[in-house]
Amino acid sequence: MTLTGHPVTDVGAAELALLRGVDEARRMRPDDGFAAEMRARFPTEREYDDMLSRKLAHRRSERRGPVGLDDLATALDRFLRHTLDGDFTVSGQRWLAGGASKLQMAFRLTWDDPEQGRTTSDLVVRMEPQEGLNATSRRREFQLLRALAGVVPVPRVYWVDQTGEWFPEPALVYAFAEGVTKPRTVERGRATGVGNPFYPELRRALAPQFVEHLARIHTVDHITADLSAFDVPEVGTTQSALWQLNRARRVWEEDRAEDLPVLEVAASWLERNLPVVDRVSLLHGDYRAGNFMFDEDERRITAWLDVERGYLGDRHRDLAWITMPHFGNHDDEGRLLVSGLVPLDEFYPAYEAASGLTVDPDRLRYYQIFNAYQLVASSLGTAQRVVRLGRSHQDVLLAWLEGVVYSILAELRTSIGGDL
Amino acid sequence: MSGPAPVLDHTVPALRAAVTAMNEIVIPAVDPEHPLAREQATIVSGLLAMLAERVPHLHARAAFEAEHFRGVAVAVADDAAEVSPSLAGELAALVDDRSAVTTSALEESAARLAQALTALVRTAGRSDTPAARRIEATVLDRSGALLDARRAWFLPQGWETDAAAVPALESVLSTVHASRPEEETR
Repeated sequence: MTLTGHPVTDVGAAELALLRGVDEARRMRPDDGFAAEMRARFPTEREYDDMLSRKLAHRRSERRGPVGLDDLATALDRFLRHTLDGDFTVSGQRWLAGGASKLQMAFRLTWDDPEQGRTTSDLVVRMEPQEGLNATSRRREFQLLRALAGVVPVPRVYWVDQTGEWFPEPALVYAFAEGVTKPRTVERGRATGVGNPFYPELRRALAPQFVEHLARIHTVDHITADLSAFDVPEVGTTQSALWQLNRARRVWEEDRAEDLPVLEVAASWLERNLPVVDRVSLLHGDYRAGNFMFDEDERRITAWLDVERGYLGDRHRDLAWITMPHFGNHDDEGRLLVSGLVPLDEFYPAYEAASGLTVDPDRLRYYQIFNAYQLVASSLGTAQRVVRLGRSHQDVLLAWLEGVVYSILAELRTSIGGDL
Repeated sequence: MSGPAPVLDHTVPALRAAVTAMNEIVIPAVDPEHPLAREQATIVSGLLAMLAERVPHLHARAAFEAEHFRGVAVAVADDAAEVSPSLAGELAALVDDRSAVTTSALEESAARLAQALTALVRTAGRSDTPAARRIEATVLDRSGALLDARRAWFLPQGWETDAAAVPALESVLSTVHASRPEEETR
C-alpha cells in the first residue's frame, strides 16, 4: 500500500495504514485476526487479556434482548440447585440501581449455610451485561472481596460463575450491603454517585475511616491471600505501569468510534515516562464516594463495593484516582474535598501516617495522567461502542457519560503541559 | 412585520414536548420499586432536554471541528514533512479539500483529518527529534479549543466542577473562522 506515492517503509504511512485497517465495521464485528493483533500489540495481565479477548469474541454473537427479572430468577434457581446440598427457598427478587456496568438483583435466600446453619440471607446477584463499560473479571472480584474480608468492611462473597455457565453472563453472588451511598440531604445524586456532597458532621466522621480503609487495603499481605487471578509485577521495574498502559491502550484501540490526536499525545507521553514500582500493593481500583455504603445514623462505612478494577500494582494509581477533582467537591473555603470528605492538603499526610507508605509526587502525577487516559478510553471509547452495539442494560447512562470526558481530557492536557 | 421569523422545522418544540411528557407524566408513573427504571427515565429526560438545546448547533459544530483539525494540520505541516513525508502529503491533500458542505460531509472531513493527525502523533511518538516533540506540543496546545467546544456542548449535563470556566457554545463555535488555514503561516 502506498500513500500519495510514498512506500509503506515510511513509518507514518504504515501507521495510517494500520489505523485504516481497524475501521468501524471491524470494531463492530471483530474477527479472530483483530483479537490476535490487539493481543500482540498490547501485552497485559493474563486475566485482562482473557477478558478483553472474550469481549471481542462475544461481540460477534447476536444482540440479546433485555434480561428480565424472571430470566435471572430462573438462572439463579438452576445455579442454586446445582450448588447447594439442602432445601432452599428464594423470595423478594428485585432490581437494584447503581453502577454503570453491572446488572444487580437482590433476593432473599433461606438455606443451610455451612457457616451459620439454617438461616435466611439477603443476597445480590451481580451479573455482567452482554457487553459493559469495563471488561473485568468476576473471578478477580470474587478473590479480591475474599482477600479484603476482615480487613475493611466488604460484603461476604458466596459464589462466582466465571464463565456464565449458569447465568446468562458471568456473575457473582454476595451479601446485600446495608447502608446508603449518599446522605439523606442529597435528594437526587449525580449518575454513578460521583461528587455527592456530605454535610460537615458526616464528613468529620467518615473521613478518617475513608483514609484508614485505604491504608489497610494498600498494606494487605497479597502473598498469602488467594489472588491467583492477578499477576504480580516485578518490584524495581516499570512492568506494573506498562501492563496498565497497554490494557488502557488496547481498550481504546478495540472500542473507540473516533480518533483523538490529543489522546495519542498522552499515550506517547505515558509510554516515555513509565514509573518504577517500589512496592506492590493491592489496589481497590475505584475507591471513591459512591462506591462505599454507610450508616448515616451511626456515621460508619458499612461496605466497600465495586472492586472490579482492582489489581496488584503501584498505590499511586489509587491515590491519583481518589483525588481526581471529578470525584470530589469543594467546601465553603473553596478547598477540594477528596471524594467530598477530606481536604486535599490533608489527605496525603493522613494517608502516609495511616499506611506507613510514602507518596511520591512524580508518580502521583504520572498516574493522574494515566487515570485521565484510561477514563477517556472507557467513558468515551468503550461506552460509545457499547451504545452502538446496544449490548448493555445501561446504554442510556453510557451515552450520558460522554459529558464527563472532555473536562477530564482538559485536565490531562494541563497536567502534561510543556513536559514533552 | 416584527417578531421572530417563522421556521419550518419543528424538531426543537417536539423535543421539548418529549421532555415535558417525561417529567410530568412518565417519570411520576414509574414504579418506585424499580430504581433502574427511575434512574434511566431521568437520564432520558436530561438527554432530550440537551438535544433540544443543541440540535440547532449541529451543523456549526461539524464545521468547527473540520476547521479545527484543518488548522492543526496546517500548524504541524513543516514538522510533519520532517517526521513523515507521506503523512505530510496526506494532510496537505486533506487540508486543500474544501468540498465538504453538508453536516455529514463536514463530520467526515474532520474524522479524516483527525485520523491522519493521529497517525502523525503516533509516528512522532516513536521519534526523538525536536520536530516530533513540536508536533506533540502543537497538537496539545491546539486541542484546548476543541476541548472547550466539547465541554460547552455538554455543559447542560452538569458534570463541570466549575461551569463558569467553560465558554458559551455560540462563542466557542464562532472561533471557527479565526483558524482558517489561509490566515495561517504555512
